[in-house]
Amino acid sequence: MEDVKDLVSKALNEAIRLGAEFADARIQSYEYELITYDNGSLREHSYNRRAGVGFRVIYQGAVAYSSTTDLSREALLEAVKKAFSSAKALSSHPGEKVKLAEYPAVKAVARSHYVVDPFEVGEEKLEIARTVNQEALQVKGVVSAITRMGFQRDKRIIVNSEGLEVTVEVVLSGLSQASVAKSEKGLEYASDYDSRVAGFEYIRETDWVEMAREVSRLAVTASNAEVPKGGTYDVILEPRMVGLLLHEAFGHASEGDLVTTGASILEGLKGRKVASELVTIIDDGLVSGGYYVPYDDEGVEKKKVYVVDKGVLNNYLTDRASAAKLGQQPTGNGRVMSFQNPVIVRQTNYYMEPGDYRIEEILEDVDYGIYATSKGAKGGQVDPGMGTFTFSAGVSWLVEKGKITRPLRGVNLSGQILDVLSKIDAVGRDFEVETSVFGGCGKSGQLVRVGTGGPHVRVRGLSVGGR
Amino acid sequence: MTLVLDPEKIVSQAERLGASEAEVYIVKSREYSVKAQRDAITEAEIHETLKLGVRVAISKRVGGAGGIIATMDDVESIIEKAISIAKTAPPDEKWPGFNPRIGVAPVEPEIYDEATASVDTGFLISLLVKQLGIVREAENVHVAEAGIGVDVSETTYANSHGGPVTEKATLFSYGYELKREGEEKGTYYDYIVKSRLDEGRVYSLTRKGVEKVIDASKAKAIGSFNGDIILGQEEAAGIIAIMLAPAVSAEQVQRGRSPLRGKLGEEILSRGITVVDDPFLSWEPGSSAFDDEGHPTTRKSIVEKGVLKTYLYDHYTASVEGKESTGNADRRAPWSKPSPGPTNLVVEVESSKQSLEELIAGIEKGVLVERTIGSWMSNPISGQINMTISFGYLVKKGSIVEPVKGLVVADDFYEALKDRFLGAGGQRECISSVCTPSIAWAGVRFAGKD
Repeated sequence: MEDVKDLVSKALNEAIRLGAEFADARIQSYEYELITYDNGSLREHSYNRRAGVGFRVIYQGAVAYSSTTDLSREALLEAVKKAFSSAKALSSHPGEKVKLAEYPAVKAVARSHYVVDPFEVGEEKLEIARTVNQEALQVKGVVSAITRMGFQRDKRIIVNSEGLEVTVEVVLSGLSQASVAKSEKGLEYASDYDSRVAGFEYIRETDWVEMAREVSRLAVTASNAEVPKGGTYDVILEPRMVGLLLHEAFGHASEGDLVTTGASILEGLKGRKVASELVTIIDDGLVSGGYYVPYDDEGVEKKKVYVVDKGVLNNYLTDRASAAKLGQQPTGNGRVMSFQNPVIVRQTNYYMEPGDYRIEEILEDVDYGIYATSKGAKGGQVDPGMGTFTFSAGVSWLVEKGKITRPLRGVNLSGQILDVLSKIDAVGRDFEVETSVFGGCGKSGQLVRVGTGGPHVRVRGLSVGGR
Repeated sequence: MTLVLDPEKIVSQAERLGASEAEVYIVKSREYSVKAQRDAITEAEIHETLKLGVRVAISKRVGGAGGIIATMDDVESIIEKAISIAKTAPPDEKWPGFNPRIGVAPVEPEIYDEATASVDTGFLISLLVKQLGIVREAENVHVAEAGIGVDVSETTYANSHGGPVTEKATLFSYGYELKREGEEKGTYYDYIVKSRLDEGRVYSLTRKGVEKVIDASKAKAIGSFNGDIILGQEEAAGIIAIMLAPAVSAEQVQRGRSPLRGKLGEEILSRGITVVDDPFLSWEPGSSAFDDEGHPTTRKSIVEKGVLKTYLYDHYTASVEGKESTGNADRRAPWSKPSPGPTNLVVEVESSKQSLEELIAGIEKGVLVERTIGSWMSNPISGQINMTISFGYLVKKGSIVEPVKGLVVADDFYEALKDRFLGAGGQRECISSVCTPSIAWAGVRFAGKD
């Protein structure tokens, strides 16, 4: 990739020579390995990779992208010329012109730490996945178990026409377990995963068998559980659920591109109170347990951003284009899924700062509510323009007079963005951030790895679906 | 893109390196797209990609590898990686070999349009300019985002038993998010994906959005109540794909993850409902003359008058039961193991009402659902539907009363469409490979703002 970098720099110079005001490129080399054990046998062991270069050219405020997997000098020049021609064609149409916020031509190399390269490990991977899968199947009542082990290596070099050169390399490893149990009431499932920015040492050092057994036991519990009655509940969210809530209920709406296009309900609310004073929300590229984003895909250093500070909307997340429109510094949130995709504003690790409450204190003031946990949660979604968000919980629990009583399944929660964070009246002192090698956040057809989390929190009055 | 891959040579090379069998899946594509933001065209993209997947079997040990290809060296390293994975894999005792029946269906659906294949960035820009013009005529309505794109692809499959089979396809997509500003704020999005560019549809869909965003901006959060639900075609199509597609997959059935296991011949939906898997519909993205392991596709009824008639099979799952594949192999990526999946699902409802208005006329109290979020979080294993209505209309005494939002629904899919099914109405629309009219059922709890 290093030798390609020089050819790419020359291609960027060509764009400038043709008349472009700015050009940049993302050179990527990506590997992914997936092992799936299903009901005791190896269902799939596959490996895939991609390598290529994606160009962005800005000509008179018009932006165009092109990409190539052919890394020869001629192909790179042809790709950058295609982007230039498209930008030139676009530039003749009226409308707002794109400008990028100023950023220095930094030169940096950042690599995540790992001890054992997971792509160099052989049969040991299969043996661990097989053992975990078989143990998950041993729990009485379980009719199906899927165990997945995944590894990713993602190396990106960002180069621009201003002289910036940033290299970021991330290795991510993880395992997930999903178990299905059957009872007289029918089928139900539970699931869990853990991933770390680390190598195979993380897989070796973790007790996956116990994690898988716990998932299977929860699946059995869930298969016998009731669906809640639909209505409004006080809800206690565990850290992973808080992560989902923040990501969906607030994170997307705080993304600068949605703010500048008018697609976010948070437009114009900077400096205003949008949450309870107990709520401080941070987007941080470097946090233990989260994904590793020291620089974004424009080569901008990722800053620790206080999006909400003690209830007040403090900052939007930005790439260089939305930062220029909003008149603020770029926050290092311009990201892409792959070299073929355009830069858009994405969260990195989005979490709530811990508070003072012990978990028992959070529970004791709930007369009738739900303790929503994550094992089986599928994710969430938001309509940032309409202000409505939703997220699903895994196996959850009814709370009566401050005590956890019965299990619940099929819990789905929903609310209004500008309403929900004001209803938080207790924030725990615990804290957890997590990421995943199996998924991430989807926006405009691009999936990127993110981290989410926080402490336990209590929300007064969320809508819960039910019969 | 100058590199040309010869699938038969790749299969032979894998065999020379020790594979007892090999299969090759190649997708070559060219994509053009143009994007607008805040009433102005802002970006254009051009990409050409060559993707290769190679799966090999060494006796009953199977492995797969693949990726985006630039050189012949990439091809060789992918073959070697697939072989090295297969060598370490434990034997799969049920392994039937790769699909031996390679060919195309007698009916080859229309999925490639020369005119669509020949559009360029300039043409897409002109379409989007006209779209922006339609929105500009409306007061206080803006394009937050819009995108238009064309994908031209060629898919090739071959394995040690035969092939190659090749199919060219075009894909046209258009989508937007409109925003209404002023006192009442709101957004509305819509999209289409077809195999042929339809300029008229771009404009009619935009005009529809301009009307709908005004209603969306007036939507109110209301309290909880019990009533009937009418899912508009888009949301009906979404729920049917999410709930039925995995449940009728023979793989999920065999692995104990489908609520339809052991229910062949049983009434699972209302007697008025028939669901057909149809790979031969013209200009639908799910259509194809062969499936993702080169097997000819077939048209079949999955549910006939409410009764479950068949599951969907690929070669592996069919072999487990001693059956023939139904031509439903589907791959997540060229290098993935195939699994059974639908082509296009067509929902036919007996005595479906002519119009949506007639269907609404029969509702005492309920919601006509226009847009939901989170319906993809429904649970096909337990059969539970989940969705949050982000925009709909409250219906009272057979008439639309007002736009509403923020209602959460959880329900049992099979119970709702069997015991509480009220009927269907309006034209059948094909959305993302599911063709359905609007459908309604009774007895729903709408959880709202209390």
